[in-house]
Amino acid sequence: MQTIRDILGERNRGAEWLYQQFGRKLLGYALHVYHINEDAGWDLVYKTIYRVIDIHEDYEFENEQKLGSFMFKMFINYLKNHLRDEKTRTNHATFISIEGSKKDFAERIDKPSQNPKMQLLNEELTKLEDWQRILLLMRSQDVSYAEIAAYVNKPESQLKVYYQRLKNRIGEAMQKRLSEQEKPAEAQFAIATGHTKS
Amino acid sequence: MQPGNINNHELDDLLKTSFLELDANSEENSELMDKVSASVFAREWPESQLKESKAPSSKVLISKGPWIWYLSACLLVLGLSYGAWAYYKHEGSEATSASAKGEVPSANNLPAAASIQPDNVAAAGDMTALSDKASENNTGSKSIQSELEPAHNIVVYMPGNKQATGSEASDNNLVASAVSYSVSTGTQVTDTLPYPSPGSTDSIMGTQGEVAAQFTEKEKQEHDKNIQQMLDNIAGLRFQDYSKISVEDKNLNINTEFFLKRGEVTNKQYKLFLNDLLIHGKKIEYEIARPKPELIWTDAKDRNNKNFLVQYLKKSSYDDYPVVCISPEGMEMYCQWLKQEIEGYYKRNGRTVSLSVRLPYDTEWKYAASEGKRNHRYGTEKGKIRSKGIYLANFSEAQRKFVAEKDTVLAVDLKKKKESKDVPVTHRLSKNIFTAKEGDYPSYFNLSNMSGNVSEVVMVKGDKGNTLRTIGGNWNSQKAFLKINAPDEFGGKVYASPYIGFRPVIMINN
Repeated sequence: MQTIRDILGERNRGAEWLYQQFGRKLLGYALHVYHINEDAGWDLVYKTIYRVIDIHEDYEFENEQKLGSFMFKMFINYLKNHLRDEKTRTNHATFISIEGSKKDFAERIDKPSQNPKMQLLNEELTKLEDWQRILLLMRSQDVSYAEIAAYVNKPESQLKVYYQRLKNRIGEAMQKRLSEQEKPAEAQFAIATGHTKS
Repeated sequence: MQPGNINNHELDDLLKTSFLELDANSEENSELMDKVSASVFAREWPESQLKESKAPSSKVLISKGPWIWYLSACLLVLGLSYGAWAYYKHEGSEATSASAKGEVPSANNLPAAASIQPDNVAAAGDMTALSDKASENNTGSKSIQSELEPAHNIVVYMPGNKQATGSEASDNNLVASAVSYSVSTGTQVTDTLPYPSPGSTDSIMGTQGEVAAQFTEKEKQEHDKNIQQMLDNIAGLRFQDYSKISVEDKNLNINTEFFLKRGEVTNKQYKLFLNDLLIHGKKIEYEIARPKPELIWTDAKDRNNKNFLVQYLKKSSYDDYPVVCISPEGMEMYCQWLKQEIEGYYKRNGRTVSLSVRLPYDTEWKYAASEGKRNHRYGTEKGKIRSKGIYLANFSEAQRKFVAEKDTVLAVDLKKKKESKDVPVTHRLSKNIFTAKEGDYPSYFNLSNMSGNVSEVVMVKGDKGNTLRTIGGNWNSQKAFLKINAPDEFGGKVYASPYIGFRPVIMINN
């Protein structure tokens, strides 16, 4: 029985296998969740496949699931860079530039986002319990409530309610903090112009 | 909306972004990502069913910004308006067109069997060019067409930094044909470079002494044997190395056929030609025709590239890879030499055959690459650039990318090559050149490497004479240039380059 290493050791065969097992699913995920351009999606998929082929010898994969997880992490790294380059999230995040980085995903350099809203969100997320944070992040990836419930060990029927409440809570908290940040600016304006709020 | 408001949609986007920015190294995030990835791969995404061919690269351009939409809309409106104007003008005209009379359309129209709507280039000329005798393009004394655009100029290598004339030609007029070739194709010679002095450059065959070296009898016999083998492959078995391509279009009453070489001319095949020149004492011709890697990458920092290129053109291990760094004159001389050899072969076998051996016209090349079908964007066996995880052409994206910062790529790659069960078809022995052998990337008509590998030189028939261009993209090209109807990656400038090769066409005159 051929191991994963054997399959990936044969370049063309390995690429085709990765494509069939994971490639199309990654494309569907990127298009569905992140609404990226289809052509760009294919580029990212092929980039991921051949990157895995190139470096697979440096890793040990116990099973296909581990390999899939590895591919997924690599793919979202490329996806992140792509979104940064496309500037489709300029209002939400400043992506870390690791273009031309010689390292695979496991060694990427992460820096806090420069976007104030992203910073607020990350701060609010750290205040949550683990399961709450996981619920929000997994739902952002369109993972089903059933799967999340199994992971966080909460009743599925209650997760929808929790999710909405958490979003509202975080949204309000972020809104409040943003307003507080803008208050000094308004006060300066009022002083300068002699206008006051009614 | 007040500044700073966060709506639901925006919060969703922020959460998606936050997920992407998670540190995968941390244990808790890694576990979370494992769960998400398991969910992704277990799910049936409707978008996963999309076919790769439905993703034209033009979409990438459109998604770049809204201004592209406005521009596209304006162009569409203009195009429709012009079409309507042209239509109503034709209706109101007293003159009747050929099509209105039911006559065969003019030869300037592309026949349906061979017409391919180009994306960015003008109509590629008419297929009646196929019926022209190639010899008309390679001899004669047409004057230089001086009204060509600068992009079509070529550099001609002249011996002794002089313009070679017919009186200075060797016995078989190869030198004269090289010069007249540039003249007859209508290309404007804007620059002449002296041949590098053999003693002072990295000549493919070494120093001047080596160039003038006498071949031993054994070497000559070996050479003759190789020539015979080459001719057996070409002519003896009815053009085994060449694919017969028939173009029929009953509407336009065009019926022609030509033989296109299945792969690009290889190092071995070209060396055979060069050796033949030397054996017959044709040193001037040799200097014109030989590859000129010394003219490429002359900067000191590219010394490794240049050194590798010299080895690539010289070593027998690269015999079956496409020859590069050949000037257009060298290509033409090769074609003339091949013609003489094949005709001589037939004559020795009691047959008189008149052939034309030349560079293909772009229309011929495009027809062969696409099998005459409009929807084939690339010259690959499926008309696509990649399929089911496999790249179907040799180009930049398909090259293996190594991350070594120092020049240790050679050792790493050789190591991997030995360990890998399936040696990559892109023969990477260096970070410098990655060509593939004939047959590695099949196309239609038993051809191979039509898209990618090396950019191929073709002729474009024009009103003021033929011009040269490259087509098909090469090992270093972006995929856009691999399209059959892509513009010339080198802007019409054809020169001795590590990216450019050629494949001849043979036509039987009688």
